[in-house]
Formats: sequence, structure tokens, C-alpha cells
Amino acid sequence: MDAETLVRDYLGRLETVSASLPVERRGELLAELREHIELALAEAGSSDEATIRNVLQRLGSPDEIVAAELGRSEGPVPAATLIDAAPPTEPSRAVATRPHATVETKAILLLTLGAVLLPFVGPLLGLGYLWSSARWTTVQKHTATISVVGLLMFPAAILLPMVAQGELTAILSTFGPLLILIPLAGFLTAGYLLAVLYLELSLVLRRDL
Amino acid sequence: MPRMVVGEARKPLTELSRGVVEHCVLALVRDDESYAFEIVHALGERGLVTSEGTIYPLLARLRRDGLVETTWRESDAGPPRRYYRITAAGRHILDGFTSDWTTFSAAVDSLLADGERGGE
Repeated sequence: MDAETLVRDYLGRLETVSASLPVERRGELLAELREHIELALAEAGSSDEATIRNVLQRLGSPDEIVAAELGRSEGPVPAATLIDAAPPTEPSRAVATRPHATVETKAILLLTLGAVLLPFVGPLLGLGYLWSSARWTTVQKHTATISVVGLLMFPAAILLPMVAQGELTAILSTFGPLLILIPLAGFLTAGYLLAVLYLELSLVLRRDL
Repeated sequence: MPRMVVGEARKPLTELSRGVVEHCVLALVRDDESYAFEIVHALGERGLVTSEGTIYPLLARLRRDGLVETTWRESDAGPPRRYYRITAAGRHILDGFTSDWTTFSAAVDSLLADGERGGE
């Protein structure tokens, strides 16, 4: 087995066994160990097979490193470690996403129910929660904002001046159908946001398999 | 001889270094900042760590607990490096450990010495 393959196999194994770590920390850990190997080889002034084997052996097994990351015993129990490495997957991911879940739920509820119960105000509050969430990308947030503001401001621009002139009954009889745009804006946007989250989730699940 | 088997499975040195190594890391970054590889190297040279890779999770925990702080600096070669330095909170922990360790190691030393004399 050539030298490069040894390092690639080691990092590949680390990537596999670290799947239960939070995404950000997992990437960081992989980068840290890749850098360590590079520096150790540079220091040894050689990257032949024996040197690499020595560097990797001193690092310890990927299982051991991930066990330390999860705050567990560093004992030489690879089989047991692998088996009980599975349960922490769930809690650690749940902990990582749970604090945001309420923010996303609030955003969706305000965009849908809020649009019916609190026209204008509900969806705008919903946008507030949307922007405070870490689950949607900036582009997705812009898309949602433009769709809500565009569909809300259109009826608002027509209706508000007439309301100011006190022609409420005339408005409702003439432009009544336009009012449907207000909840529609919220529902369309919420649908888009949910679809995006669902797609992301299914991608994450597939990657883990 | 079941007790010996248990002792072997637990790797006494690993057991012993648990809880000590993190304080050694704090001591290594007490006066000067260092980057991770230097820290791992210093511990490895002294035989304080058996699996060098496990120091990276330890460093991450010390960062999360606010006992060390880090700064990214350009390196002469390769990508920027993260330099570690002790924080006030870390210094507090290290001071406490230093005094505990002095008492503890003196007690163990004296007990081991007594044991030796008794055995002769």
C-alpha cells in the first residue's frame, strides 16, 4: 500500500466514524488531523510508508479520537465503541437543531395562520423569525421576503389610500378578491420554505447512509 | 488473578493521565501561545499522551469551556494556524490544579516510599 493511500484511508475512516458529530466540528476535526499529519511528515523530512505508519500509529485510531470527542473512555474497545457510538447520534443532532426548531415553526405559522388572523402584521413578524433562523440560506430568505413583500405590498398599495379616504365598503365590493393575496402570499412562501427544509433533510439522511 | 486482567484492560497510564493532561495543556499555553501541533508534540515527547489525536478533541473542549482562547495567524508555509493561549478562567483552574497536584503527588510519593521500605 503506498504512502498516500495510508493517509487517505485513515482520514476516510475518521470521516466515517465521526458522522455523529455536529457538521461544523466534524469538518474542523478532519482539517486539524490532516494538518497534523502534514506537519508531522514535514518535520520527519520523509513521507515513506514507515514514517507515515509511525505518525498514524501515534495519532491513535479514528475510533479512539471520536470517542474522546464524544467525551468517552479512550480505552481500547473499538468494537464496543462502534456499537454504542450509534445512540449519541440522535441526541447530538437533536440538540444541534432543537433550539432553532421553534423559530422555524413560528416563522411558518405566522406566514400562514398569521396571514389570516393578523393581515400584514403576521407575515411581517414571520419574516422576522425567518431571518433569525440558521436553517435557511440567505438566498432562500431573500426569495421568501421578496415573495411576501411583493404579494403583500401590491394589495396594500391599492387598498391603503382608499381606506384612508373612508371608502371601505366600496373597496370590499370592488377589490374584495384581492384580499385573498394576503394569505396566499404567506402560504406560497411557507410552502417554498418547507420544501427547501424537506429537501435539505432528505439530502442529509442520504449522505449519512 | 482477575484483578491483574482488569488492571490491564483499563491501561493504568491512560486512567492516570485522564484529568491531568488537560491541565498540562493549560500549563503549555500559560506563558506563551502555541499552535496545536506544538502542544501535541510537547505532550508526546514527555510521554504524557498515548494517542496524540485525542488532544484535538481536548483542545476543542478547552475552547468551548473558555479556558483557552485562540487566534488565527499566518504561517511561513501552508495555511494560517490557530494559536492557543490561556484565559483568566483557565489560569484560575490551573492554579487550583497546581496546588492540588503538589499535595497529591507528595502524598503518593511518601506512601510509595513507605511501601518500598516496608517491603525490604
